Amino acid sequence: MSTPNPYQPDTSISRPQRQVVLAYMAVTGLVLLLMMVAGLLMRMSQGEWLNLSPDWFYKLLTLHGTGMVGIAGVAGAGIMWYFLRQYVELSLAIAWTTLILVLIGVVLILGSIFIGNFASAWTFLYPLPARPMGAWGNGAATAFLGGLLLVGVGFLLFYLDSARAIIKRYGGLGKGLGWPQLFGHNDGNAPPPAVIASTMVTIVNSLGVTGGAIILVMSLINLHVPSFTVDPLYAKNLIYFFGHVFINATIYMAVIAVYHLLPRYTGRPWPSSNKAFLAAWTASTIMVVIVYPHHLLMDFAQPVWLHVTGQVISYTSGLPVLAVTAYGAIVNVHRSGIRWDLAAGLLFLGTFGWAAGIIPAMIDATVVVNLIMHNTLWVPGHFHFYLLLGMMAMALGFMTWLVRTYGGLADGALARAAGWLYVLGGIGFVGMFLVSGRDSVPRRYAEHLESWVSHGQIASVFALLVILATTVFVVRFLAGLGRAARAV
Amino acid sequence: MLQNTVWLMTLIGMGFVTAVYLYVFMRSTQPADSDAVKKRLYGIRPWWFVLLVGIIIVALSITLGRLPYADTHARAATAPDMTVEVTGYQWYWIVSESTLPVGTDIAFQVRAEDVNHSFALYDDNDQLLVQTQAMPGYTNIVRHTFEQPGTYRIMCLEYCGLAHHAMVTELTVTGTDNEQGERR
Repeated sequence: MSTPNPYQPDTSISRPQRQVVLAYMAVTGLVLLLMMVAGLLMRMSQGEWLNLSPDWFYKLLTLHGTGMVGIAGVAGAGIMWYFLRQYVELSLAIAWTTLILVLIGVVLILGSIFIGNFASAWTFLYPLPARPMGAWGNGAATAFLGGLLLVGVGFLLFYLDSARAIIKRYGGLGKGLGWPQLFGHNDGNAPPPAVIASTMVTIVNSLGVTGGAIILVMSLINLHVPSFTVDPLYAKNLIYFFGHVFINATIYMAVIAVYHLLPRYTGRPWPSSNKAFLAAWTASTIMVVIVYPHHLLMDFAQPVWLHVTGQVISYTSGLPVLAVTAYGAIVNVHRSGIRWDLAAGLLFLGTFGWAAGIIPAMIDATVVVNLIMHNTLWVPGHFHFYLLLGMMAMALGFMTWLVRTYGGLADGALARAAGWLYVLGGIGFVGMFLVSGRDSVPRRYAEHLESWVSHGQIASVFALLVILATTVFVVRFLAGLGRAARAV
Repeated sequence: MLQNTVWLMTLIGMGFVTAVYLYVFMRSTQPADSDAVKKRLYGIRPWWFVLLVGIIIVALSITLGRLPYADTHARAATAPDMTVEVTGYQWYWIVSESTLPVGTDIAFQVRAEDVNHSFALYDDNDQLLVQTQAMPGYTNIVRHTFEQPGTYRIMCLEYCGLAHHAMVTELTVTGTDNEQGERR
């Protein structure tokens, strides 16, 4: 068996094309660190190690949530673009346009929070943006909602371009998902994982972002024409539909890096032209779109069939992840003789974080459990598990691989230590969220009861470890960025 | 307490996933024939997949029969012993009765007048007992029977603005355990 070379540059992607991906990942690294610091400050405040006033706490909450969701989208888009571009003709101009629109949106959002004192949380639940009790003005709310709309438009352009390119190359989105091989004779010629995953994400996120745009526009109109009102339950459905699809899709984008990079380390291909793989991705396409009602299980007035859908689909949507991606990673790695490095370790960790994080998520989606867990810190516990230890681990693994492959930046002892620190800090940090959820600690609380203060303190220590590790990853990435961008 | 059961199930599930990953990680550097590994591991996948589906079906059949929505949709099989109206405002609660009897089946009719809030009942050990959303234009009805006399709190669990965390009011539950026994 020949020794695999995981650092073979991809010749099917040109230097300008690589540069746009590097830009996406550089923005990801920088914003990620800043948002992590915001998260640490909030946890320290809850642990009474820092005296944040409630208005600052909720401004940081809004910043952290919006920033992290946005940056997960940017990171996922960067990964998707890098691998998808090797099979279809994506537009470089649109990739840059998306990034620029996102950054303009970010400036508006930052202005709304730090100049206008906007603090509705990233969920901007209607009609809170228009009912702040004097805490912020209509201008700030307009800047925030408008900024978010601009970010959404940027991403919509990105997905429309992906759809165009996939349809042009494969003849339709169904073919991009490998339906001829799934539902007919499997000739072994289904598209590669990057195309299948990108097709799925393109479908779900085009719908999700459009749903988000609808409620954003309606909220904007309501801000300036108060007589124009929206049904709050309908608004909540649209917000959580958009929010869930968007953040969920970031993991399905990031996992493309696992499918395409892990085999380069193990020497074992990750075949996509088998019915289990294709069925899993088609099932996920449907389930990601219809699973969002599990966010509204405590809205008793919602039709009961939607509640039941929320629980049933939440349970079943974990199956493709466990059976295809997590198990596929296990089969790919088991007794492969892999030579681990930081990138491979983070990619493998990412599949673990996703698989393990699904468990508390599925349990929370049980209506009778949600009755005592909803909006406690159990919720950020499970989503930080599969975002911090799952999605973001995959993104950081991809970034590390990029600067290793194109920038020649090899791992040292510090990088390896940072990898283990990330695991330790990450598990401790999200573990404390779950412990807090078990102990009924509410989420989004500027001030905690005495019995909850120690939770925040322990979590802050673990958060600091995560930030230290992430700082090493990001600094290494930035150190190798110039060479990676210039490499022929 | 359901929270502890949930915690235990989570630890078992996540512990199992962690153990599998650690085992694979530790054996990963010892090479074996790839085809044989794939054949063996993919060979057992259908079995544990079916087991997982079985667990899901059992969990669904146990839990979906206990949905708390009947009162809100006027389909409750029994009438409550007592009704309490709760309305959320930025940032306080108006409650029609703040002294309540122990051992009584109470229906809390929850709504909001301005933005989204969430009605969450906490006991004096800071433990969450039950919750439902409070939102403008809708009434959500949640039923609860207090098992012990004492002081309980209604807290808001849906972010509703800068004093969200301070949106707390107390309920006093009176009576004796004997009364509770007699009612049962």
